[in-house]
Amino acid sequence: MPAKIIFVLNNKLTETDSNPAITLADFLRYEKKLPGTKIACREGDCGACTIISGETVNNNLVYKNLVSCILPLNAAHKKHIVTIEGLSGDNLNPIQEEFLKQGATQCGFCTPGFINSLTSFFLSSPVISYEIALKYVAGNICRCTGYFSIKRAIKELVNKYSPELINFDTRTDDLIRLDIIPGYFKEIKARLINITDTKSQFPKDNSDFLISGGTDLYVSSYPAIKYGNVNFIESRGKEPVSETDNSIHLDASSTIDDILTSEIIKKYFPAISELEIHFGSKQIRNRATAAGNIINASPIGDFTIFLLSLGAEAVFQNGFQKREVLLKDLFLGYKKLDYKKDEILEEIIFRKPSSKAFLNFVKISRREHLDIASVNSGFFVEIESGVLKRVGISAGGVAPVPKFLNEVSAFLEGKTLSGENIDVAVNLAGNEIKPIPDARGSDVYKSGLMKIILKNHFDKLKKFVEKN
Amino acid sequence: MKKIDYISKDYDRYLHLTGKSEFVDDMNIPSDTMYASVFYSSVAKGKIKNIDFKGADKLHNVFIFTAKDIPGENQIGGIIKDELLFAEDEVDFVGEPIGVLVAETREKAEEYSKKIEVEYEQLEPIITARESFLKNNFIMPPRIFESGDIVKGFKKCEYIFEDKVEFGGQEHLYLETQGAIALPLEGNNLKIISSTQNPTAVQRITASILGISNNNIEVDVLRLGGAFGGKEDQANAWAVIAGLAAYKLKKPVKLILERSDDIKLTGKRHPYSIDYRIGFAKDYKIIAYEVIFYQNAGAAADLSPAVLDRTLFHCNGSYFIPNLKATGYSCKTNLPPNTAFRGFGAPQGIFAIESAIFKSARKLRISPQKIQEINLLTEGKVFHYGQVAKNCTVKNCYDSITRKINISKKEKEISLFNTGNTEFRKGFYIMPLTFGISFTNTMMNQASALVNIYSDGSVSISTAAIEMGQGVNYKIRQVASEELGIDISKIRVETTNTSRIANTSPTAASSGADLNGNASRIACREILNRITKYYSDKQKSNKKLRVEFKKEQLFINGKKQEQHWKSVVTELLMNRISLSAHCSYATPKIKFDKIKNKGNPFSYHTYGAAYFEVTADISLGTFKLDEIVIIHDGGKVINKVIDTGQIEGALAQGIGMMTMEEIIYDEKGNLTTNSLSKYKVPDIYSMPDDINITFYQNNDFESGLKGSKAVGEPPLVYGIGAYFAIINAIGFNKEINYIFESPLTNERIFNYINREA
Ligand SMILES: Cc1cc2nc3c(=O)[nH]c(=O)nc-3n(C[C@H](O)[C@H](O)[C@H](O)COP(=O)(O)OP(=O)(O)OC[C@H]3O[C@@H](n4cnc5c(N)ncnc54)[C@H](O)[C@@H]3O)c2cc1C
Ligand code: FES
Ligand code: FES
Repeated sequence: MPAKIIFVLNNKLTETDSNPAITLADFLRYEKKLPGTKIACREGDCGACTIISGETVNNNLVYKNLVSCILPLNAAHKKHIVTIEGLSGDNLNPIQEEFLKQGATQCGFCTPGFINSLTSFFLSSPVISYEIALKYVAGNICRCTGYFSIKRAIKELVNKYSPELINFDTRTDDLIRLDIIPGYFKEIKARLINITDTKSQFPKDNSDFLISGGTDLYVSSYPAIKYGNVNFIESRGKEPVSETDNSIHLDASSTIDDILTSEIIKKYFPAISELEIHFGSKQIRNRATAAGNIINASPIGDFTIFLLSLGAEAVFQNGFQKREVLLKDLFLGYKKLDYKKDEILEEIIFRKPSSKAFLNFVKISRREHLDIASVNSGFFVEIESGVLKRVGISAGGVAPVPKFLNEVSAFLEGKTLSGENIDVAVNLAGNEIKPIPDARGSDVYKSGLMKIILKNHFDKLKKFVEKN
Repeated sequence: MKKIDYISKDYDRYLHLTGKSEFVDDMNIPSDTMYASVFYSSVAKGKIKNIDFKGADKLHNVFIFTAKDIPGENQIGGIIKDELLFAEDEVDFVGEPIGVLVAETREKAEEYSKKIEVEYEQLEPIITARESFLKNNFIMPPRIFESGDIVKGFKKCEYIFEDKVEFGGQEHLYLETQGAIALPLEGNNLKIISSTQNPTAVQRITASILGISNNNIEVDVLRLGGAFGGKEDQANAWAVIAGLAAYKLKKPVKLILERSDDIKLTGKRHPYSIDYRIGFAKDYKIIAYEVIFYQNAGAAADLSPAVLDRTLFHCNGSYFIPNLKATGYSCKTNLPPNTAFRGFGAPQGIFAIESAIFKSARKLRISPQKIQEINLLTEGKVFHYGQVAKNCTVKNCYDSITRKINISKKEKEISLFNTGNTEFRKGFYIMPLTFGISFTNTMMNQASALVNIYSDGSVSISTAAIEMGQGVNYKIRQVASEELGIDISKIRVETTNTSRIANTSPTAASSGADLNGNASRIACREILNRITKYYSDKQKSNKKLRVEFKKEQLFINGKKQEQHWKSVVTELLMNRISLSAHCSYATPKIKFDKIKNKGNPFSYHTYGAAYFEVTADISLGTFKLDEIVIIHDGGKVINKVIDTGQIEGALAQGIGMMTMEEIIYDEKGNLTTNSLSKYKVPDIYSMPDDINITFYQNNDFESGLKGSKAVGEPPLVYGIGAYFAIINAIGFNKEINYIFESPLTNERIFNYINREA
């Protein structure tokens, strides 16, 4: 019997006995009668159901935007959940007013989601810029405006408020002063700390569904989840990314956003922004975990493809013992893994790149952003006096599993970057891949694209070598 | 204080922005409401052998209705009566409704209805229009539009080219899915709240399905969360099904389609296959154009005949073609019936002629602009359907664009950029726009408005217009406010309701504001006339006085009076003069002979031109839109914010249609692109950060709504320009040896590049 879920919903302490596995969107709309949160797709792909979720991390109140249609009610526990109703008084706030002026709402169905994403931008982004604001709303689809008016509104808002919002430490107070958020936000931190933990967890071996972010499971298996035994993996409260002398450790239960925006990752992999901006949307990155991406074993999992190229290792734990598997050996067949039901993926470890390391990540999809790849690929290499070392090339969308190109990588090991070697590598890759035609492209397209992407890797590497 | 004023003036947007605006699924409903879930065919063609309800039919408080439970006529076809509400013995497309299951909660209804198993004898489906054409499988006889003499015309030509074109469909993806609530009233009566563009159709079909009269059914529409044509005919079934269940159970019934069903069950923009032959004189004047359209109509007529007509009307694009023959076949296939979608057949016709021009230009080694410029429509030229182009500004807009962009300089810049560039290529295109305004079915060009003025001076307006984000309610309030001389915040536009406004035309064909705005103006004027008469009588003036309000103050013959709006209202009511008026409007001067296919079908044309510039990555096969410049003739624009919003939104939808939005059915008739994760519409990064839209100063235009032109659909056509800008970039200066197919996805770009190489 699960215990109560307790959270602050807008300005109201809320307790519920409802099934923690139902979606927050349904709970808000149909149990709490807060219909401002819209549902248009139920698969995280449109942002109409975007809410803001606040929680205390290291004694700071941290807000993010999330899509509530694939978010378990369970995830609201001890959080501050903000819906459009909680941001709106009798007057329009400055974001809403600017939207009105620019005509940035037409049919209105997407509008609460946009307002919430933008508000979460103001709440959580240390830097207030147009480019970053776009990242926050990139998961919000509008079918009416063509986005131009929305962009005009964002530009105006950023221009007007960036000078006022320089100091991140006083952000909440500043936003209240500017009327962007209501005054009750001031007390939220204290109210959250007062919520005592009353939730219990299911034992894992008893569960049908092991859920981290749920961004895969709620799309593939809802409503079955609602009727099954569910085990929610809580974040272990560890640092998402840490480093030792030789290696980098990722906490597997951390979100993609926390990992990709960590200072350590950005330091060693400046090219990581390519992956960040091409992985789902802000709402998805805020919720999707590293573990989920790996265990879901989708042949085009972006984060998995990135890790594969680094030669990463997965660390499993079953309560009694740890087990380490090289990621490239983990995937046995379509959605088949070398992984036992009672194990939890805890950590991902890879060697720290040398100062001569080069990483390239390429993803081609039907739409550049918030889309599943047709083909993606990671390329990692260290250059030692003109010779390629620790070569790792991964390829997604071209096999039943996220693929590590063993032969190509092995061939290039110790070689130079000659035109001849590149040609051999590209040809070798042709033997290693076997794409399946689907909605994201024909097999011919995918193999053709893979070749071009490999060339693109080598072109970029050449430029990198010339520069260094 | 100022803010509150802002809100009352613009309450629709205020409600949206604060999450207070209600859509069907948001409304408060009675606690005994039941929930309906439709079960449907899983095969594209077959005979129903058996239905296994998996025990659901025996459950307490679970009800199932199929064709045999329909008391009236099992028929929902509009133009042609060829579509059943529930399949009887045969099914003709995946997603064809077979019945409805009703339960106490939405979850239960979904759960039980998804478990129902239908056994079929499967038959071979037809998926494409060309296939259906070869099998002589048509919705109706072919339609032919002809002008001049095509045979003689081709004989005079110096150059003749022929080719095929393939135009892909498009999913509406209105964010609010289809839905309705049906509430039983006393006796046989029903009230239906529906997310429809066409409440009268819902009323009419529900009545005939139930075998009762239209006046037993009241349909009410508050607003739509987007529609784009997808709720013109295709909203009917769901509202009617909810109505049927509510009528049978004598309980409120709610039916909302989940997205996964909505995208599968509803029809889309029509895919077309096209064959053309085009002939030019030595100076590149188009002398003759013959084109055959194979429209993929899906399994029933729906609006396909009307859509096909608009294709034929617009098959000349923005060009004058003296000898033209256009044939349209509406081909019956085993797909969900395709339907209205912003543009309504025009994009298919226009894409064909634009393809013909582009390809011919490449063959002739000249720029497409050269052919465009020389052939653009000008004042007084006659369209192939007999109408004379009047106040024709397409060339003005086109020329303004070339000047504004400085095309010759641009060409040089781009050529410089492209030469020797092995990574990126730039390309541009100018897309002219000519779009006829009016329902091509002349009868539908009528509307009425009911204006009530209450004792406190507040005003209520009911019309046939449906608000779906296009701002029609605001425009109606705006013109009524100007007409009456009172503040807009005093005026409310009511829900669209068949009991208040009867026999409505759907809000479609971009005509909502023209028709209903004019009807509202006439009704307001009628009330002003009564006020005028009252004061004329009172002052015993034998000449008619000039009575008006300015900022709510009464003026007689230009002289300011003591009385203001509110006191005048009181005074008239005291004197037993009605302050309600119900007036109608019919678009003047339009007529069309459907046998000869000649006449004046359109009240006027909307014109414009758009410039697109793109950069393509010629190894990876991707592109980015760099710049869009539009000069649009919107007449005397009465609301810039709304009209700009319509242009921008239609443009994005048009670009989506031509680039990333791809509908794929497999050979069994299953939709492969059946979710938002597989069917991609433009997102915020798909559009450039800036856009440059100028309204062409057209002071001579008098029709439309106070001289403003309809704006909903026409700008969608601009999106076609993106297609050719990309082709220009990837095949810079090369002859093209592939068939033009839309949409131009990254995959197609990749294939085209590698074919070129
Ligand atoms: C709109 C949208 C866009 C997306 N875009 C992308 C994209 O661009 N690129 C991409 O790669 N993916 C994308 N995804 C897929 C998804 O977000 C990612 O795969 C994500 O990383 C999954 O993480 P999760 O925590 O949400 O997984 P969950 O759904 O919680 O779990 C997925 C699987 O992993 C298992 N699992 C989870 N945690 C553990 C653990 N610690 N130990 C063992 N097993 C575990 C679960 O049991 C389940 O089988 C998208 C999804 C959506 C809805
Ligand atoms: S409803 Fe589309 S993202 Fe949630
Ligand atoms: S305003 Fe209609 S979807 Fe954005």
